Amino acid sequence: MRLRFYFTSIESDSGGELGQYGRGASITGAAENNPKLAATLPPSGFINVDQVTSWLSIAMVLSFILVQNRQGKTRLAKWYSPYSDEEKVKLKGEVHRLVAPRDQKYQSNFVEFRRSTKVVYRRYAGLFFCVCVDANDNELAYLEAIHFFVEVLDQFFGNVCELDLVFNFYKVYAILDEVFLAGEIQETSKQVVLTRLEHLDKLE
Amino acid sequence: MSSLKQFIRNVRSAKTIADERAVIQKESAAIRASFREESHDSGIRRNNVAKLLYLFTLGERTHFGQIECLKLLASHRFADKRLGYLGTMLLLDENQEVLTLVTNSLKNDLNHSNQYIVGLALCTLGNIASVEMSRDLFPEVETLMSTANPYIRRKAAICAMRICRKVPDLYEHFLEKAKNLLSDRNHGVLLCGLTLAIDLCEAEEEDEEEGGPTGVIEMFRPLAGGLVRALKGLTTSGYSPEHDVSGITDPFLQVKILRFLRVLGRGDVATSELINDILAQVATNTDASKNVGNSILYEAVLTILDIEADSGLRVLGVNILGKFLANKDNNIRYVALNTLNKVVAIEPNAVQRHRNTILECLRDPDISIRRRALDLSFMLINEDNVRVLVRELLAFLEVADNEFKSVMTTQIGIAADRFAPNKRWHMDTILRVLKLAGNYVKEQILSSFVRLIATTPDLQTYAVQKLYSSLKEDISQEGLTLAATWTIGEYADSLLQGGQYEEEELVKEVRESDLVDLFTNILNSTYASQIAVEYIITASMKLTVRMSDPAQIERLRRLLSSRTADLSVEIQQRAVEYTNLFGYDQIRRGVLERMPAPEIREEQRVLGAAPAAKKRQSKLLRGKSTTKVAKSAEHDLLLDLVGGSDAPVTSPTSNGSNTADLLADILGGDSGMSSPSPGPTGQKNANSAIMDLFGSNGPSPSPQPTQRASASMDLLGAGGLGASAPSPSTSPTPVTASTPAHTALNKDGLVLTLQVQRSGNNAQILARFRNDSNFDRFTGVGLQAAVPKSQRLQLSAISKADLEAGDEGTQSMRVTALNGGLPAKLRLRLRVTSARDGGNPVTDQVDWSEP
Repeated sequence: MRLRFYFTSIESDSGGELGQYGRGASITGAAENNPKLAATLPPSGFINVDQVTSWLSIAMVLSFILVQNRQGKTRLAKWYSPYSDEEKVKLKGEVHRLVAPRDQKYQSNFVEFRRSTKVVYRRYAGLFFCVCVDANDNELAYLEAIHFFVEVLDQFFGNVCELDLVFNFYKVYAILDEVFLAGEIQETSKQVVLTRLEHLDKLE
Repeated sequence: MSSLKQFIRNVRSAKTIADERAVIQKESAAIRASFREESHDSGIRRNNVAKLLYLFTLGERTHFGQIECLKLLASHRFADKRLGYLGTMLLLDENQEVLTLVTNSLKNDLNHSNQYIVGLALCTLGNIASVEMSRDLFPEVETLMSTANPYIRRKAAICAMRICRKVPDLYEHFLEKAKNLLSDRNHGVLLCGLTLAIDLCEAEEEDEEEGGPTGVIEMFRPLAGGLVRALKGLTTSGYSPEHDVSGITDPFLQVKILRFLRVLGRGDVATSELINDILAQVATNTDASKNVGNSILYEAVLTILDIEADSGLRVLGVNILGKFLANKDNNIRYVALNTLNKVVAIEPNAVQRHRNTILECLRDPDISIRRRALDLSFMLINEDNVRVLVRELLAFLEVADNEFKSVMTTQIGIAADRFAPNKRWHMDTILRVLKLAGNYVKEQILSSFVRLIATTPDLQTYAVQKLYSSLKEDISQEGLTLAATWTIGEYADSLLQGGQYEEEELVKEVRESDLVDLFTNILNSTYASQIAVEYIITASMKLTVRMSDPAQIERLRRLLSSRTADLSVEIQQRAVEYTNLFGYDQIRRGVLERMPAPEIREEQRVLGAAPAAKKRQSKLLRGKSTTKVAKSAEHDLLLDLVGGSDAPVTSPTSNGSNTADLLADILGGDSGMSSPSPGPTGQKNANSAIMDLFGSNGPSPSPQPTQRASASMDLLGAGGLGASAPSPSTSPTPVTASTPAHTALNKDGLVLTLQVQRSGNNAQILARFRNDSNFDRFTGVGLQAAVPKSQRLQLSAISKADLEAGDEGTQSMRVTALNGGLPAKLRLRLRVTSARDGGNPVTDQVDWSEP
């Protein structure tokens, strides 16, 4: 299922670029060589599965972030790759079913998920913070990133609880956008993030 | 209109799901109605959109609010803009058409004087930029990458990354700016700059083969020195409150720098040398007591193993992973095993040193750790440690989760096949596997075991005694039942003689009645699966010639005739045939003689070299692909175990022993298809037929690899009981005359035409030889054929090898696609042999492709 999704996204991407290329080239003037374009297309008629996965490792580093409670109610969902609505519903369910029954003490915080990705999660009270990353990424660092995000939330709300996330969900998204951008962590100083948020709130 | 807070409360206070749906639907309708009123009060619009976003978090449909978000973000009020952008990011993604409407607003906001508004625009662009947006807005982003404001600079850097992912040929615009960011003193900016640089470099690596942009990595390489200094600064600096994470300064940045150094050092000796020192420093000085420290250590190890580091450093890297294995945190052990799995191919010796720790992980409470430890253990097996490791693995097999057993039995079987120090050990190992997990053993392993016994005459007595006593103890393990039944059937005479045995507790006289009792027991138990019954039927038949007590033989005969009305056609037919065979005592003994030992092709037993991975690709990634290769190789290996051949060249020998035909000849009387083999005696014929059936190549001078493999597959799959098995060669579907015949060869009066008939993923080809000459006579006419590796070919014997003028001979082939369907046009390489007028045989080779 996912694999098919990858294929179509790759094909549509390259197709899009192909269509775009003529216009884009004349605008930017970088017409002589378009090596990237050729590279995006599969070299021959068929797509090697290995190649697909390795493209992915650069194409998406962090594909989504989910915060769910133990019942599987999603408190926050941020998608860094374009998923269809049905896909989103499915992913939420799958992640919950994978993560919720895991043993905190005897199991690691990483679950292999679909093809070539894994879910790194951390549980805080009744909430699971899950990020879906590439299978080759540094899981331990993502675990720290989750914790960093939670610490920012904690300081922002002052002892954060699930209800804070429910009633202030739009603020949570704003905080998330200050910590992660395009699936990459962008700031590592809590103080910088919090000051920034304070300024933003003052402007409203 | 209620407020957002009120709406959330209402939803939460709903008692049942139906209530909740009602609340949601009512509110959703109200929001739609409000949108239609086209109110210009932005407060109301904000309220609506906020509620809409809440609906979104509940997973409701919200597409009708997309335009409202766009209206909000085009407003001049900051609060409107902020919510508008948030809504846009949540409700829209890069594939939505509506997104093009945002481009203009984004362009304005990117040029806005208020840094907060610029920040919002960048954030949106970074999260959902499409190809079109990237092309339209990249000049703005390029400019913003060098503004004075670090907040904007770092966001712009990530936007640049997103833009390059969407439109790779824009990368040139960002190279210089990216270089500048890498010497930035602001942590956030440096971090984002590194993210951008890594992405650009990796894009280059991925595309190199296509002649993509080169020089990106080269361009960044001179910066390695500066980054090494920055990393050194981070590791040696004291406590810095702003970026401290439990005692370590900015681990995120350290990890990113290490990762970037890996990209720069990969395949470059000079750069690798430059970073050796700092890697050693990080690897030795980082505090490993907490997850933070370990995340850095882990990244450092990955870098060490991926660049051209000196050997001491590499050993240090593997040792860190070894230390990880002993860590009590599951995560650390998981990561260590995962990485060792990739590393074992590059640094086998260093990994071997941690063998004991790895084996301990087999008993870890976490199943995913156990699974990885198991994978790793199998990769560690070699000639020197096979005894130790297999012993450990057998011990683990006893307690292993059921889901592991199938893989384990296969892997142990393969390991034993490759590295067994001697045959006795090999036999004992498989025997143990059969006893512990006989229900999970794949048929290939079973058949290789049977072949092992058959090819080792001096251990046959030992094997049959051991198997007999094991089966007597436990009839619940199907694999054991099958192997033991076959062996008992084959070597019952050795068993009955009893005899010289090293392990004295085994020496117990076995009476003929014991064997019959055992078979009857199994047949009467719940473990009598279809295959087991098939095996027992055949073994019982063999016993009738290995035993001397008429009473027992009579019991066996009754046992066989009791199955002549079995519900399974296969068993029924076999039982009927065998009971009839009692009537032909003069050939029965010959037919049921011991099978000759099958041939083992040594050269195919060892894993072929793994295909070269993509050059320059990360070694660790390569590690990943080799596991995949190993998987498929395992499959090949299994095929090899059954004696299949890679080169699907099928050549019917002059003996022309067509398994099915012959057996039909013997068992079913004249089938009407005359066997082309000139003159072997009936008894010999019978022998070779049955032997072919069991996957040996018998006395025929040249092997028929493919057919043999398929025969043995049939044997194991369908019980191999013979002519009625749906073996394709048995019942060639008649190729109707309606399909066009293509002439493949026309030489000196001998015409070869091919008719192809397809069904599903196989094709039936009928080759028709006609002697078109006037008076010439062709003798020894035969066809050999080969197909591409993706297909399998089965070739039956020619119906008539000697053609008088005007005569016709046919030979049928069957081509099966191994995976996927057949190509639109079949390709064959044909070799036609014939002798004209009793002269020397002439061979012609033709490459034929279907017109």
